[in-house]
This record gives sequence, C-alpha cells and structure tokens, in this order.
Amino acid sequence: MNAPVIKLQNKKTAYWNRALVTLTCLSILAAFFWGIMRESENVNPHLRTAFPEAEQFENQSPGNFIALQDGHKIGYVTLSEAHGYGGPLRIAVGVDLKGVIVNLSMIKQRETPSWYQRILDDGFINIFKGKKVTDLFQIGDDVDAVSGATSTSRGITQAVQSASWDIGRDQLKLSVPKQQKPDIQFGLPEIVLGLLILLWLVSKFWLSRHKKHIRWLSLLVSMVTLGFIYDSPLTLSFVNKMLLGYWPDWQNHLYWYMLIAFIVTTFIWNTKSVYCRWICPFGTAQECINILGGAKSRNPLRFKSIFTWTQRSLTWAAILLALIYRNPGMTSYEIFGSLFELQGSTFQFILLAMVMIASVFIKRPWCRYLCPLPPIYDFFKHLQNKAKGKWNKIITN
Amino acid sequence: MEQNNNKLNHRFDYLLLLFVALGVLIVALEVGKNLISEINSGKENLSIQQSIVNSPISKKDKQKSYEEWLKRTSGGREVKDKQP
Repeated sequence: MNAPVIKLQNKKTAYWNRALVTLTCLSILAAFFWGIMRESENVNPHLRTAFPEAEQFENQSPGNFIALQDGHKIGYVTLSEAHGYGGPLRIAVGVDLKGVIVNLSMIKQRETPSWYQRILDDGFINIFKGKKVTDLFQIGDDVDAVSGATSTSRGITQAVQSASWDIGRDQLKLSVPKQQKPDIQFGLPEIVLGLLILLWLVSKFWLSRHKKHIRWLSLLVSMVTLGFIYDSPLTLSFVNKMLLGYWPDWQNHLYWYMLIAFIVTTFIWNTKSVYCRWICPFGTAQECINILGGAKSRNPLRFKSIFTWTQRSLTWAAILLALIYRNPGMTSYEIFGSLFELQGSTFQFILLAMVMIASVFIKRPWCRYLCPLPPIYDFFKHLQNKAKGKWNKIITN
Repeated sequence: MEQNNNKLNHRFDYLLLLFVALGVLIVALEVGKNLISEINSGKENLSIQQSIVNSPISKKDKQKSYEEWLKRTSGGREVKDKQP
C-alpha cells in the first residue's frame, strides 16, 4: 500500500474515532440527565406503610411527619437516608408515642437486585419492628447483618438509627445515644491493598530484575485476600456509582478511595492498566488456569474489530442503562462473586464456567473479550492522548 | 505444516467468535433480568399509589356503611347508635 492511501485511511480512522468519542460522551450525558428527569418520589404510600394505623399525615418539617388518627397524634414518621452498597438508601420510619418502631418502608434503594432480594428474603427490614428509639442499632450488637449483603444491611441500619434517634430526641424528648462520628475503617483489605501498591512501586523502582516474581506474588496475595476472603475487585458498579455521583463517606470506604487514588495515579503515569496486570483477583484466577492448561497468547486473525467493538458496545450499553435507571449495580454483569463467593444467578455461573474453560486455551479471555473495564480505560486513554496533543500544540505555538 | 497451522488458527477464530457471542447473550439475559425486576419494583410502587388514590375511605363512608349494615341486621328497629 502506498503512503497517500495509508494517510487517507489514518485520517478516516481518526475522524471515526473522534465522532464515536463525541457520541459516547453525549449519550452518557443525555442518559445522566434523563435518569434525573425520570426520577420521581412519592412518599405518600411509604408513609402509610411506615404507620398503617394512621389516617392522615401532617408535614411538620421537611422529612418529618406527624401520624394522626381521628385528628389525634398517634406517632411520627421520619424519612432518613444512608449509603448502601450501590448508592443512597431512603427509608420512612414510623414510631409510636411510646418510642417503639411501628414499621418501616424502603422509599428508594440502588442495590444490586439479587442482593436486595437477599435482604427481603431474610426479613431484615422486619427485625427493626418493635425496637425502641433509644436502642443502639449497631451491626453485630443488637442487629445481625445479612451475610453477603453487609453493606446494604449497614446502610439500612444507619438510616433507621438516624431516623429513630431524631424522633426520640426531637419529638419524644427521650435521652438517645449520641451520634458518633464514623470510625475510620482500616482493616486487612486496606493493609493488603497498601502492600500490593508497595510491591508494584518496589518492582518499578528498585527490583525491576525480579518484576515477574513480584508480580506473581502480588497477584496471588490479591486473589486470596481481595478475591476469596473479601470479594472486593473493581467492578462496573463502582464506576457507575462514581458517574452517578454516589460517593460514599471515606471513613467507611477507605479501601475504594485508596483504589481510585492508585488507579488514577498509575493511569496518568503509566501506559498500561496497572490494576489489571498487578492486582485484579479475577485476572489472577484466569492466569492460574492459563498456566495449568498451557494457554497461549493467541491474537485472532479475523473478527478483531468485531471483538473490540462488541466489548466496547456492551460496556457502553451497561453504563447507559445504569445512568437512566440511576442504579449502579443493575447492569454490573461481572462474574467475580460467582467465583469468589459462589453466589450469583444461573446465567452468571454458566458464564463463569465458559470463561474458566476458555482460560485453558486463551490467556485471560474475560479481560480480553468481555470485561467492561478495558474499554473504559481505553476511552480515558484516548481522551488523555487528545488532551496531551492539544497541550503540546499550545506549547509549541 | 504452515497451511495446517493457518487452518487451525481460522477454526480457533470461529471458536472465539462463538465464545464472545454466547458471552454477550448471557450478559444480555442477566442485565435484562435485572432490568425487568427494576421496572417491576417501580410498578409495585405505582400500584400501591393507585390503590390509595382510587379507594380513599373517608370517615363519612365508613359511618354510612356501618349504618347500612346495622339497618340490615337490626330487624327493623330504629337505629340510633354510632360506630364506636
């Protein structure tokens, strides 16, 4: 092929890339605003569920209602919010004049449907009925979390605690425990993540000769702790949460903020995704099977662009739906939980089996063909390169 | 030998295509299932809302139905008492 033809083709590709990037940005923005517009909140049915005895509700102040029967006050309903796994949870809590919780109603939740179903099946919401507003409402103390949905359980408990204590203190003039500032949760996941970051830094700056061995050490530690013990790999749900603006408090989610800081720093610094290569527990599981099966690093001769664009389209559609329905976990289709916690739907287990079998023959099939994170990474890399190019042009001019 | 290798690689590409197609299908089914449950949860809220809007039982109606019931069951006697 001669030089002018190649030049023309490159120009065409650049044009299409620019058009697609613009279209992606616009569609994501449109989905975000559409999601906001279609979100509506009618609290009336929830007030009735929270206090079924009441005939009327008088709005005392924003989020606080007096429950009335025959014109007489019989209790209070307060709306409260806390952070669950997927985003904010909004709950209506009904309390009678003796300071006993009558009922509660979930107004809004952003949890992954299968996980939220676990909360409902377990009857977790009902355990608060009959509790006093002066109770502690502490997970592990007077409230048992639902296993496998700890963050959701914690979020619901926090919302109920906040509403109950508000009613107890402000309406019933009872002595309630003081609202304490959340403790900074610094445990084994944070320590392990810190250690993995340290390992990467060591191999990068001091022991680059042993890079291969250090990388394997990092991957194995990550798979055991961040995978099998804590099941906390980076997922699309987390990216959706960030896009929707559901930023949780850092004291309870230090691990995630450490991970973001690491990903952003290495993204600016490095050309390859350090998280995928050095930390991802699911990537490690695939690499282990790669070694056992003797998988080769084969690049497809045909359909290469079909594979690339399928992966990108899948990610784009999943993000768009999450933004429209304002539910980050709804479209998170990863199969990490199926492997590390043996929990998930039939579809997820089938997909996991397929990926594991494919790992015998191909290196990291999930990461290369289905994972939503590489397309996101490529998208930001493209934007970064564009910005760099523009910046260089400005400087040279 | 090289021809055989090429043939194998082409077959491998088709297998890969099958893997990706099945993967996408399963992902679509999983996301679709979640989408349906999300839409249904919205509908459930709406139906609660509707039932409240459509059947507001006022105190007057309650009293009326109680009086009618009392009239039916009192055997023609004069009804004076009110619902407690």
